[in-house]
Amino acid sequence: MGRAALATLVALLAVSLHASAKETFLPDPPQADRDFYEKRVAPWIEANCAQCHRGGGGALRLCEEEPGLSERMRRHTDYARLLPFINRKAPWESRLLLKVLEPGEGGDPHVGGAFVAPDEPDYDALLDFVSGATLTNLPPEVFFEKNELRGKPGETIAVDGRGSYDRDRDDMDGLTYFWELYARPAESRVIIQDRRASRLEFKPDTGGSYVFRLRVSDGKVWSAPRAVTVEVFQHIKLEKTKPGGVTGLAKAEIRNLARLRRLYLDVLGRPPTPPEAIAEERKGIKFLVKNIMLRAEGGRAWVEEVAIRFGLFDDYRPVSDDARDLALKIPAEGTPPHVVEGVLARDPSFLRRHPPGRPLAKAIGELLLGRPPSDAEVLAAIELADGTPADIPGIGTVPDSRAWLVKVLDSRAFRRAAVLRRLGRFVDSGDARKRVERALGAINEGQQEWTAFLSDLLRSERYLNRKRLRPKGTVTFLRSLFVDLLERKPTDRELAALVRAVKTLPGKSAAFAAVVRVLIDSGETPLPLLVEIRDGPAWITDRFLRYLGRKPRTQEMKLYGQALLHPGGGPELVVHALLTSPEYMCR
Amino acid sequence: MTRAVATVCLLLAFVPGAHAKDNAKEAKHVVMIILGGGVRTEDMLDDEVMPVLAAMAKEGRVVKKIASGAPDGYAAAARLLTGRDDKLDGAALARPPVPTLCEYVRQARDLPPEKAWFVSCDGGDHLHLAASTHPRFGSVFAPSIAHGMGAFAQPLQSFLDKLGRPVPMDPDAWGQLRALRGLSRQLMSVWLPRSVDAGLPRSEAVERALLREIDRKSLLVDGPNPKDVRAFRAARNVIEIHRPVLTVLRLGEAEQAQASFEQYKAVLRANDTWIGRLRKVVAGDKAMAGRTTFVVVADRGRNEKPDEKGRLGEDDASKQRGFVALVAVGPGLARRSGLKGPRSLDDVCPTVARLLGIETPHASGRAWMELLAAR
Repeated sequence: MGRAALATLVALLAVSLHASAKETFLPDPPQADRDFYEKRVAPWIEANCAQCHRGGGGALRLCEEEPGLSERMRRHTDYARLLPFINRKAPWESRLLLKVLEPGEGGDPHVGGAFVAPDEPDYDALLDFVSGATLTNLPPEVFFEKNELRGKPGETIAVDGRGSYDRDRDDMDGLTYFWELYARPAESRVIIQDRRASRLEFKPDTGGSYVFRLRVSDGKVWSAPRAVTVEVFQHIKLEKTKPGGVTGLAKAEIRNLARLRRLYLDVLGRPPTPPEAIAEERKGIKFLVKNIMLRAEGGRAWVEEVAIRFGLFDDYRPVSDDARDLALKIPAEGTPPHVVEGVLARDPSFLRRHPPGRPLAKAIGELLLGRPPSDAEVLAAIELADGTPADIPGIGTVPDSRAWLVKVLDSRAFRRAAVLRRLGRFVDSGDARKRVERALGAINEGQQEWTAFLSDLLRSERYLNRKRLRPKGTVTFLRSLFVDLLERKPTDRELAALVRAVKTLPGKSAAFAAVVRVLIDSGETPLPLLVEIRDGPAWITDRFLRYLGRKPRTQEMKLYGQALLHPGGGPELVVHALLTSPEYMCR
Repeated sequence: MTRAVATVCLLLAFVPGAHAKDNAKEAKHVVMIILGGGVRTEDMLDDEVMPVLAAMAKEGRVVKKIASGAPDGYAAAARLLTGRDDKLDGAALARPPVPTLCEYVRQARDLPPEKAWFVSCDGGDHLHLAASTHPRFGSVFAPSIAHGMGAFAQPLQSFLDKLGRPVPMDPDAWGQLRALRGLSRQLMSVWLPRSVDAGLPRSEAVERALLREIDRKSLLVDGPNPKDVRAFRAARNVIEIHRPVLTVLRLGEAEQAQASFEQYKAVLRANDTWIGRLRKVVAGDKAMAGRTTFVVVADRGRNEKPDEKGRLGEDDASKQRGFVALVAVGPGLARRSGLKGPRSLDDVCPTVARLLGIETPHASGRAWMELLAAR
């Protein structure tokens, strides 16, 4: 086994074993109860799902009508077939629940339509069922006021689990708590003093992301775990500017502003807000890179983007523990690209999204290896789909599709392609190819070397002074719009709805432009009336600095000035034009 | 001289127009409109009621005497789409057990979902007509679906509910936007990647179609056929944006004949105007013009005469009630149809599929080869 393969194995084991070692203290979350299903859920399933799913429609196959089969037996079979649609570790994300929930409430698209809203008793019954409720006991639930907290090194931070509750009782006295420190920065030595406390206090010794998980018990069963992330870094207090005024960006060094915007977009997947830009533009590049790379936000953004590139959203969202925990661990562990992509590709949703046969061949080629599949690979994939072992060029004989996928994920070609994709986010493709061997070497040396390699790359003149523009990815673009227009990040639901809509449309900019228009007219975008703008050129310059990180040229100032004063134009048109310009698509 | 002629012939073989002439024998796109709610053949071909359709009939081919026999609109549409009479219950709105035309097209051509569309005036369970429960087809090859507010507005519904719909754009503003985006392209041309299409004409056309679908004006619908108008709008946007290989548009407002014969005629007139608009959209798109065949077919007939209360029911034994007509115009059709004798609704699916060069193995109807150009 080569050093590279060994490093991959170690990294993967680190991700998977870390959790399992600690969880041996507690039993798994409860399994859905069959009696509860029969009494409370089966009639609802019969009324809403049986028509399609008993006839063979969709992925859920309910028991077929057969002469002589008793009602009870049929319900037992239905129960067994529903179990794969339940996520015990995160019941609220079970496919059974999401497929019937209104999309506006976070549900997944469903050909049969939505049947429940969160405020309806039927939804409660389904949630109870997937959470492991029995006819005599409902499992307790963990509740945090906020799932993300912020703090500074050396400052005492409290994580409060006292909002957790037992759904059978009003008082909270009977609850038992269990905390675990699920992820922490590599150099941190923080430990949990009292695992059984309802409220946790800790003092972070270094910057980075700390992830705590809590489970509660009512004395009969333990709940599913919920995580809370604490981001520790020198953060900036955000203050909003008046719409008609200017933000003060004109005083900033243009070169620094452009660099800062690039770092934010590439690492965090969003641009800086004006207060962040003003506070950080004069900081040294070493401090900036470290401060930005420490944030959990960057890990979440990366995982979100890879998942969307793999098509793992909506009905195909990742379900494995490793995939769910990935976003929490990246900033703390400096996870290399092939591990991130590998964990998501190993998730069962990947094979559901790209089923055996031609779709899988295409996914393995284009998504994982960065090239179209060869004809021989496509033919082999079709053989595998028929259940026949097949010879894959360069790999050998594999018994089934999963074995092929696993071999690809263990290959050097995949590792190289994944690293190239990650580097390609920061530098041009030619430059990425030149650096790929060094990057692979750094990964083999360990996570600190890899983090140092990335840090060096982000501080290099070549990166910081790159002139050639590259289009933003779909998710980065949507996040940018929200931050630049609404001065906030999109929620998961907003992002999912937008990605779903944008993915179905040809080209990119038209759909983005339509979203820009919706946001501008939403009433949430703080735009001034024309009369509120005291200094037109200064306001236009400020918008250029905010959205493009540069000042307008003379010709642009003239045209944008005309648009500002035009009867059919105004501030909305200026902002609309800037945010739908080819340049904004890349910066 | 002979060499010069040979050279000219060789050159002509590579001229796009030469291929275009061959393509006239094949339909690259089909827009199939189901006039739901029951429409008499005489109304479909009447210059005064449906002048656009009547003109299409003169320009293209007409098949009369298609025996309907379906008990309701849902069952009739299912037969038109699957090519088989599975006696689907119109009250239960169940999925068809065999593949629909949309599934055949996607499966045979290996098309992404956005290249085959089912656009319907009715939402909910009526959309079950789009795809079957057949284990080898079904949801895997289901078409994209649009109804009500439209294909783009639908996935954005929750987002639009929360943030509201945009104000319709001032027509003058488009000129300004074009100028500003054009300037940006010009200034950044050296560093701009080719994949960025912002500021290009095609991108603007798609953007305008999208905004038309989601702006506040899109909520306003007037005229005698509001549900059909929404479906037509959705279909227009789908065609403009995606250029689908197959677009099935199911209408239903002719049902108003049950209330009044005059209302029924008003619906047909309004629908006819929209058929004209769809043809105009296709004619204005270089990629679709001359390559798109329109097929318009009624789902069932209606009584020969209105009753004493002015209602046009569907309970007599006339030919108008028992038979429907189909009008087809565009490439892929024979010069003379030569069709004789009665036909069945079940034949429509295999015929339209053959127009696109596709087989329909689960259909029991047979393709009207006499209607299609020889291949």
